[in-house]
Amino acid sequence: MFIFYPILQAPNCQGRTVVHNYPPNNWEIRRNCKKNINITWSDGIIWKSKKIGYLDINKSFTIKEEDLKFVPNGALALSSLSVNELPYESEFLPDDTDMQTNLPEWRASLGLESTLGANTSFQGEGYAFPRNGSLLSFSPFLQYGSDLSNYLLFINIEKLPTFRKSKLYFLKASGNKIYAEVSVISNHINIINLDNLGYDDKDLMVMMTKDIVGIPLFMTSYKNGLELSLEHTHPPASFAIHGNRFALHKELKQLWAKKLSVIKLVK
Amino acid sequence: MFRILIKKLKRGIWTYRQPLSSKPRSLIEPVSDLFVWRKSDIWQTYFDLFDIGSLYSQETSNKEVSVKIIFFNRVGIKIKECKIDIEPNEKKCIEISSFIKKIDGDYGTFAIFHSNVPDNFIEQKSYLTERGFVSYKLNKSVLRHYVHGNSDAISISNNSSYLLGTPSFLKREYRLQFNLTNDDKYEFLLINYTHGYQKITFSFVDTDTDKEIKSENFSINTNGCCLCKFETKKNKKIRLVISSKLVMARPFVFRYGQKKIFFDIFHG
Repeated sequence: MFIFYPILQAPNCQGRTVVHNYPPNNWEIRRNCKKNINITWSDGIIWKSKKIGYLDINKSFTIKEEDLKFVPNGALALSSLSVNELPYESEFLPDDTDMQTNLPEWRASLGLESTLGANTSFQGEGYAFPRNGSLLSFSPFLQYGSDLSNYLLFINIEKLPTFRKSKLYFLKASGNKIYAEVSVISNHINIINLDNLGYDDKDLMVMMTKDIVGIPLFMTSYKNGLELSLEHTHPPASFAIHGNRFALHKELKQLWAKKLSVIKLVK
Repeated sequence: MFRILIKKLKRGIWTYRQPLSSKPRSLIEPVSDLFVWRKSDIWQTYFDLFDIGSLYSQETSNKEVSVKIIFFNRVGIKIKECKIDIEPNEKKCIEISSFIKKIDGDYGTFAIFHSNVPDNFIEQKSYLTERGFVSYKLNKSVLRHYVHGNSDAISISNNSSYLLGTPSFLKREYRLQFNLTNDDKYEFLLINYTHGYQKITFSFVDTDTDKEIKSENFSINTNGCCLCKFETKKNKKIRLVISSKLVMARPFVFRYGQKKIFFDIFHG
């Protein structure tokens, strides 16, 4: 699978993605090579890619959100390292030689730097999610207090370049109501403020979708970026190991989808 | 055909009987990552607990659910265990460091075992596992800084925990895909989730010359962890290579801004 590394966006922050041309272990990739550094984005009709340089073996390169002036405002910029040149335009998300590893995955450092100087990061990667897949995510990350703001950065990448609308549903694990329905767009980083959705310290947030899949990243900021915390939820499949864990995951998703189908939005 | 066989054999050296995590002894025995606690005048550690089992049930259960937390010091000796009651479908953020005494040291590991293992896990021959969300406060920071666990490391049977990690036949390199610079100082915490004592080498490599500029050796007891510090005054990009017989030597990385004041935590 050809992997992309999103350049993050968040309020009062700039995205920083550091791509690395060395594998994360010494046994899965035997032959590495000099690679093209690319930025790919969608205009809603077609995928566009631009080569911004080369990366030698064992080197790294930092991509800053503010350096990507050629990417339209609000567009999701995806960086990648390719063996071959990516087409300038393509009807599907570009593909290239698969150099992905498993233990662990070949990742980049994805981060945010606030205008006040705080930094936060994680090791991550992204790839095209299936269209019409659904998402179930349990998040304990919300933090409460004066001058704290909580955001969901919901990153969706699909093969087709279209911007289609979908919805995120916010529930509580303990409740029988939908606390918010929020519109999201495919092939975007959807930034959603979570502060006024009616959650408190004891609530376990449940986030669901019916026909869109993405990476749910949770960011908490103190005083607009004096401190930052960023982490993603585990997919619920990781509540189980060994055996038929994907059957369990399916059962869990069906159970919550049934619940979502009978409950209503709190007005 | 011959080429495929050679390829399989070459890969088999690294994968045959070397799972990231072996199976627990019984399907009712829950699994936990081995998390890292830090406690001192400047560190507090937290954990967000919720009952995973109750998420698999449509009805809100009235049965009492709890977790057992087992703490180890940095050399892997069990120092404490406690039981915490939790409400189904609710979250409880507990201060992990409040259970630790000064005599137990500044850092170590802990594991969290859930009492509620739903029947459908047993039917599917799967094991319920706590992958965590640990958070840390440094120097009375306002925010808790989150990181998730990264190893299905440990299980429990009859009140006695046992590790699930198997060592690699050959020494492996884990190459952290992150640039270390003079902008920040770093601490790397690595756990030993295998049955045996592990020797670890942290090598710091200059990305311009590809030469090692520093290396440090550690030994980690089973259940324990080691802490390696790194800073550089030079305006260089450095990368970290961890050599060991751990199948995956993913460290927790604590990053402290020097030019800009911040604290960040992530896992390798």
